[in-house]
Amino acid sequence: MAKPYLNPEYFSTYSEFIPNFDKFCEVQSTLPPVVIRRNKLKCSRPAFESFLKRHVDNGAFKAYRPVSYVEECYEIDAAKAIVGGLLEHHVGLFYIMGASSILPVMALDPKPGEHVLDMSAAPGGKTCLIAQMMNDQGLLVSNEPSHLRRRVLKANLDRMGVSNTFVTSFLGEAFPTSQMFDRILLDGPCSAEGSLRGGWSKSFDYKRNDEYRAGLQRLQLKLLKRSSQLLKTGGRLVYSTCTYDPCENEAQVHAVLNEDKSLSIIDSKLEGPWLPGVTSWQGKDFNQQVCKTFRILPHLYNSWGFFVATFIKQ
Amino acid sequence: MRHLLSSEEKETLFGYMEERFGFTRSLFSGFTLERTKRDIWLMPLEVYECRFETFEIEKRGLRAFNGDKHPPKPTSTFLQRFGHLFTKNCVELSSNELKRFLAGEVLEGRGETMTKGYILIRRGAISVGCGFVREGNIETQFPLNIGRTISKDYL
Repeated sequence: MAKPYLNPEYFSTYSEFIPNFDKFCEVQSTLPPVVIRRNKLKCSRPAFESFLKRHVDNGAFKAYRPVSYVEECYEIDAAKAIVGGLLEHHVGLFYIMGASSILPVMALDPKPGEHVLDMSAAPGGKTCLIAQMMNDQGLLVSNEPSHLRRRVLKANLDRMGVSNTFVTSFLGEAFPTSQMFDRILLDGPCSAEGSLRGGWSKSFDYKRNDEYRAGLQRLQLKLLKRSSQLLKTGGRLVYSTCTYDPCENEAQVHAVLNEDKSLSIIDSKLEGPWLPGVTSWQGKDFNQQVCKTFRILPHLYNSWGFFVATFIKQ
Repeated sequence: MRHLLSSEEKETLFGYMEERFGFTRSLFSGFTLERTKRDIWLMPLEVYECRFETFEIEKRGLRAFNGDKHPPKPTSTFLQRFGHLFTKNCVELSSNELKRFLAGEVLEGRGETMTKGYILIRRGAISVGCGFVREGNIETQFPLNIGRTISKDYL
């Protein structure tokens, strides 16, 4: 059965805010590059570079090159299965992740000694990166309600050698308010259209219908509201999704800004070929602050589609 | 039952790590050590002090030692994170030796100069995991299920 999202028709409703839409469709049908990020807790940059060179010499990689706009990331010319099978991967010297997945954590900008919550932490790429940016100090609560996904999360935390993490299993919308946080990452459940690049994605069920999407949007808003309650005054909340649908992105930002006047959007000040959030969709105008959110599109930045909004609590 | 390691337990552990691996006790500063029924976990104090009212602990910190063994066995997770700081009882394996080690084979005569006990296995700058020297041979302590998934072509 044909996968509808591999057909440009599937994304055509977004053509009004995706520039050079034909190019977008062309890129969307190709596989994203294999990108790895150095684990700063375990491996120095010179040691990592010598590992990269060694694998070019022994034929595992054809080549490698640094990725623009994100630190410590390299694009590898090799099949993902080869990179994933390397000893260095199993002992946690690097993590394989999309370059655009790193940007929400850069927007969060966690610091050593802070109290940080990753609301939907599995499989753990962003949580491990947060721990590294905290230099493995302070408190990082990595929450994941799904038992199966939590197993993967814990395995990745072990592999990356992280010690400052407390793994919890709460439903995000019911996360207890006894702990308050300096920074919260809400990379919540979404329809994952951005991760469909190049083929079938496990995280995407093409039978998803309007009812499913409406449920997802209700959940996203609940998670945003609970995240705001858990945030200390002056704290930072990053909301991100890997989907293009404005109903899951700007519309959610608009809704939470209307309901919670203590929140406002700030400019993440991350340089790159991103686009600002859309200010209206399907006849509905959004709060003008959504201009400070940003969208990552695969034909403008060679990775997955992403949306990132950075809130601050006053 | 979870509890912080007592001064006496810490003294025993730090003394063992220093003597066996040259891992000085100051390297544990900044971390709290918690004993559970089977293991010893390493974490910053903030993580230990974090409490939720209705919550059973799922995972807290890094599992550093298998605490029901005497002396305690450093876990692969601990060795891979801190092994570069070890100065004693470290064995550098060749590519072929590492293949055999990961497959669970005994490396006969490879630990001849070493006393019985746990050792760190290295491959170049990589701390791979734990081995055990018995009568001059190195036995693997590396999880075989993980060893099987590592590509042997690029060791």
